[in-house]
Amino acid sequence: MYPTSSQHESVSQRRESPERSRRKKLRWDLAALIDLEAYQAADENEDRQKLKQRDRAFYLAESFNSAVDRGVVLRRWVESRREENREKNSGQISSSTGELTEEIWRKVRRWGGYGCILLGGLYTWGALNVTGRQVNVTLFWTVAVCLPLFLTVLGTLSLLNRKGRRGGGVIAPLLRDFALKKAQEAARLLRQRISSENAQRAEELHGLVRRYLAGHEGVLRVYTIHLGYSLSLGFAMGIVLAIVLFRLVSYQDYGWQTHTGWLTAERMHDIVEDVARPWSWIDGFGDGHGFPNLEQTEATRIYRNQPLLQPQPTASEAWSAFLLGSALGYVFFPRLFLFLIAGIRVRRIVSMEDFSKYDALWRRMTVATVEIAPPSPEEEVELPAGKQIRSVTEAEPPGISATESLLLLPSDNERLPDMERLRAGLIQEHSLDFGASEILPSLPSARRDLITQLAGREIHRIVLVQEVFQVPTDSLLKLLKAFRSEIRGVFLHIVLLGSGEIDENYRTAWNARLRSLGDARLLWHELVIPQENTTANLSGGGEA
Amino acid sequence: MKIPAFVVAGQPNDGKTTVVSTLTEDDQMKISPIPGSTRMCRGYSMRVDGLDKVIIYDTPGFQNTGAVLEWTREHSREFVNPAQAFIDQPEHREEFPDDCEVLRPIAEGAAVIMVVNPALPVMQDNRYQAEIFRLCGATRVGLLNMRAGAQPQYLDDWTDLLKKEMNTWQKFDACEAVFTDRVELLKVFATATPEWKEQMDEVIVLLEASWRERLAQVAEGATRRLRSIVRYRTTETVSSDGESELLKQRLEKRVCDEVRKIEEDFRSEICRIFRHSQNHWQGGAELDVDIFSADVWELFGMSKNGLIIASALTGAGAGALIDVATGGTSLGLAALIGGAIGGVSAFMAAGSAVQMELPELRLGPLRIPRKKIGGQSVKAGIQRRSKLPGILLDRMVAYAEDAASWAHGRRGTEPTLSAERRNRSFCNELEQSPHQSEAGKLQALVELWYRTRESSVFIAGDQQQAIQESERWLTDRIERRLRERTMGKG
Repeated sequence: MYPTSSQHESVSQRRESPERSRRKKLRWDLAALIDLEAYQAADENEDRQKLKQRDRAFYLAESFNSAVDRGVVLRRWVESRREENREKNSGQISSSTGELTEEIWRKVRRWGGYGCILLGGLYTWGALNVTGRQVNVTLFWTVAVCLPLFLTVLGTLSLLNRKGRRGGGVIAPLLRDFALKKAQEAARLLRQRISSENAQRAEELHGLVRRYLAGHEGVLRVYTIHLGYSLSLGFAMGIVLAIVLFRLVSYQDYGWQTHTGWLTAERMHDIVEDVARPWSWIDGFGDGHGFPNLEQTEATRIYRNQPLLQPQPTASEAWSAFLLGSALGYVFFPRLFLFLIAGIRVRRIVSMEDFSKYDALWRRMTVATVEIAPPSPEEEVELPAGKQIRSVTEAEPPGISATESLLLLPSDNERLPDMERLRAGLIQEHSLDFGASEILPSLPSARRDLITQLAGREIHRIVLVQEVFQVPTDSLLKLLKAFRSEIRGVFLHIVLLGSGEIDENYRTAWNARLRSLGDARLLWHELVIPQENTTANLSGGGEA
Repeated sequence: MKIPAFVVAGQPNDGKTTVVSTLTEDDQMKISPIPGSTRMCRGYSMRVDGLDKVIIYDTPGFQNTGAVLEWTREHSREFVNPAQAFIDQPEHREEFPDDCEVLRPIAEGAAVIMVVNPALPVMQDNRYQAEIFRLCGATRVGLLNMRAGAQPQYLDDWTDLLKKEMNTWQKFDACEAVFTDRVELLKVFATATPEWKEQMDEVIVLLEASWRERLAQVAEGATRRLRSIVRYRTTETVSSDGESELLKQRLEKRVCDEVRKIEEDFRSEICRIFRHSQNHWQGGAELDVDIFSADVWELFGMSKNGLIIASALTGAGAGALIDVATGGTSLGLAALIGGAIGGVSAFMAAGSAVQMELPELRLGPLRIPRKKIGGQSVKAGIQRRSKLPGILLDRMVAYAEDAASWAHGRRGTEPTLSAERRNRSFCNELEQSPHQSEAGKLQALVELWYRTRESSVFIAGDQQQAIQESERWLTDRIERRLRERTMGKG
């Protein structure tokens, strides 16, 4: 469930705070995803009750809108866990697992990029730096432009086609299985050589990676692709920089050669012109500047075993510009474009990540904590308990006649046996005969009247019939006290009437409460009169 | 009163505390079979995220019904709030403390839940109480506490009284009530108190969500523990060949103890989730038996002999197919061999749930057990294809079901839930499921766990994903089962 309206109010007051606007900016990235997984793994063996308290408290404190997306909440949760861990570690470890992974990843990309720039530069420099003859443009173009372009296209096509090939193929699964098997073997050997504690830690870490790999294969793939494009962009940049640098600090003649009679200077110029179309429209990069014109093309044709051509500075500059344009147009910019696309894709796929599998965490946060709070001891109202007084019982003197004895029946007496059966039972089992009977009213005022009336009569014994399941309440005890105070010497007999075997619990309740009166002239008896049977049975009795 | 509040009233020993205990999931309340043992007025607050949402008061009941009624009849027209006026009389607080306690929440606007016992006749006091509540202007809900085993011989009389005197009434067995019954009762309270309907409906929704969360927690806990059991492995190094037998016994004991410990740990969690204190609740008798005892295997799975026969028959069946394929030229030999293989493998698997992994020489695909194992590591874990995971899962689910269905007001009686245990075994249900692949899915998951314990460091991504998906399936399946048992199929 979602927070209550009062909680929403308190949040709306904070809505525009800088802290809140900072939170809005939180986005998913690899680090956050790994941390989400890592914190989940850390919570696995924690006490569920504590987790519930923590996560629910977080959710309420954040007071998300009821329509909030699960990803937004989880992202904020990751951030809150990071902050919590930072506080716990008091600044000793500033990065979480995810942040550390992201940092490593970034460094690999950066230094790998620099390495690739250097590699591309050296590769191009090596191809340009020929002594004693012209640079073969066709050859250079093939290795420095065509090959990288081909690799870019091939890589992109294979990625686009990846979905179709998934699960198929022969070599890739074999290689993967082989690598996995070897990795397992190596891990086993490693485990035997390191301490069990370290082995345990290593297994935990690998478990985390494994878990992450299983859950976020898509994300990891785009991250890897992005890394690949970063490196290849670096390589392309190296090529471009080497050409520019070579133009600035060195001089080299360029030429082209062929064995085929078909490739005449005109045809070569046509091809070059077509290739140079992406930049030939730019002012100053047209025919003869951005690429060689027909004369320049013709003048730079190389024939094997022919004397070297005279230096052609303008033609070489045009060829150099053509090579630079090709490297930029066909290598650098396509790779830059793919790099940017991959960057967008990384963001997109990360933001589209499916968080449905974090159901347990989501429930802990969103389902309200429902608990029943028992009253605190000071809230409890303890009522005065009956006194436990045990007094000496006074035996009833013999010779109380029936006329001195009164039977009191409860007002709701429709279930009682008829008077004859009751009398027979009382006489047979308890020798309690009576000369008159009265109905005991249930309201106190009528009772008071009855007691006043009885006080003026010559009564030595009152037999009060009660159904045994009617647990003695305070009002009955008050009645008995009133009898005692108004008719002092009277013997009070309470007959607990039952129709079957009397429940021990009722007996205990009656005994406890009647004894609490501490009345020496109060006696109580059990009388069982079965509903169908006319025979009365005695089950037991008690005395105060 | 802003928060919905209900005061549970009635004659002593009509089960007021039992009702409150079940409604509030508090098995720590003193429920004594001796009537009139509640001597305190307690308010139980149902809190949602720390905020009081509903309060239920348990009271000792009226002790001076006649006196209270007389006063109320006389003064009900003089006061807007007769209950408050009664309490305000200083002599009343002195003379009728119990009655003042019952009336106090009513004076503050609480609705009355009048608990009655249809096994006992309607007494004058009951009528008086109903009249007091009416004169006090309280919303009244009659609750027929249908106690299991007690004959409700006065049901009609009570129904007549409740129809006349109460705003609404409901039957409720506080000792047998499961979650749905409790929710149904709260819905009745909500209907009876239109001014609180919205708040009560909100509480009901929250309660249901919270219950579902608890079931999900149970299911997740069961899956997690089953995985730990299957993946569990213990290792010890043998110093000399002579002690190998002792070592085996030691390892076997360790594995068994681990299984017991995990099961015990699960049970503690269940008790905490369903708020049962160990002293007050008891699971089915068969669940108290040690998991490795033969009785448990008979009850949940299959006897050793049964297992061997079944496996032998399966093997023979498969062999017979080969015999048929060969046109009988194999003279039934394939069936014989198949049966023998099935029987022997089942005999070995059924012999012990624990599997020893002795050191071996590896020559490519060949694995040759070492004869001398001194100085080598011996591993032990759960037997592959053992019935133990299934039995453990059944026991965990059964225990959770019992705990979820055990009303908190119930005390010390033998559970009636255990009788059909065999029929409602979770694994049996999977086998009989219309989705035929369900039993196979569980087997596949156990097998995956088993296989990945052997190479716990590197697991292929797709395999790991398969494990995660299957674990999620199992968790959902257990949760569904528990939901059906406690919340109904809807």
